[in-house]
Amino acid sequence: MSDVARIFVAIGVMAILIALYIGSYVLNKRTKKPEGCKDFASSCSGCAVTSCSHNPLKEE
Amino acid sequence: MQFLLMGIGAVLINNIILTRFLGICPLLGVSKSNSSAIGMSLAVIFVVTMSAILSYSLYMYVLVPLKIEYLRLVSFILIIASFVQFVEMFLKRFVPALYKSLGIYLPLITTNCVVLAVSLDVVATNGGVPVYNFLNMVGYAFFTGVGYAVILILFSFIQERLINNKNMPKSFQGSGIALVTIGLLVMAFLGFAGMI
Repeated sequence: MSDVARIFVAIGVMAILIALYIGSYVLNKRTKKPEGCKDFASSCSGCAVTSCSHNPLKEE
Repeated sequence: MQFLLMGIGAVLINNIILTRFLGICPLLGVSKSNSSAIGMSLAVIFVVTMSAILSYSLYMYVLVPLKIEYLRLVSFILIIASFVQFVEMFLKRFVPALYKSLGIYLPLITTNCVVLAVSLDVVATNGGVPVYNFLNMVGYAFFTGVGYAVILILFSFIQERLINNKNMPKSFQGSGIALVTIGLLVMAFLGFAGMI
């Protein structure tokens, strides 16, 4: 395989992986949370991990 | 016997937190209560093992044959993030009870560098030859997760006592004393060095 072809293969693999991530993210967002789990974010008092989507600091 | 030694090595001697200081952020964040630590530990063991299997398979069967091994870092990040999303979705839909207990810890796993480090470790090569075969890779990933869990749970018991200690100087409160305690844990676990 030539170098140019390999670059296109690399771009293709990355595109598949990015599509996989976007697809999984969208599907996860659309899946309804079970009963009693809707208030995860409000029940979280916050820890040191500010990158977590449940952390109240993220809302600000 | 080999797996037993691998387990002892990954948990006591080469513990990923204590020897490489990876995953310190979730360790400090989630260790304030025992129940959180146990929930996070279970989630880490599962995700580390499964994402190591996925990363190893992607590397060996896609990246190496196509000679694009240099993409392993970014590929593994995407694989781990996607896997965590799928697990969360699966739990929401089919195992709500487990989602209720683990659900809040799953998004934290994506930010846990232990998962990425293990995925990168299992595809390591020595002179072009892979260090781990499939079975050894699964064992290494599982026991590394167990090692992380042991320290997280152990540290949560210590943290509960530190938080309740009213005599703590103000300058030491919070992360200060937690980091000092981790340093002491590192020194204590150094006593296991040379056991195997």
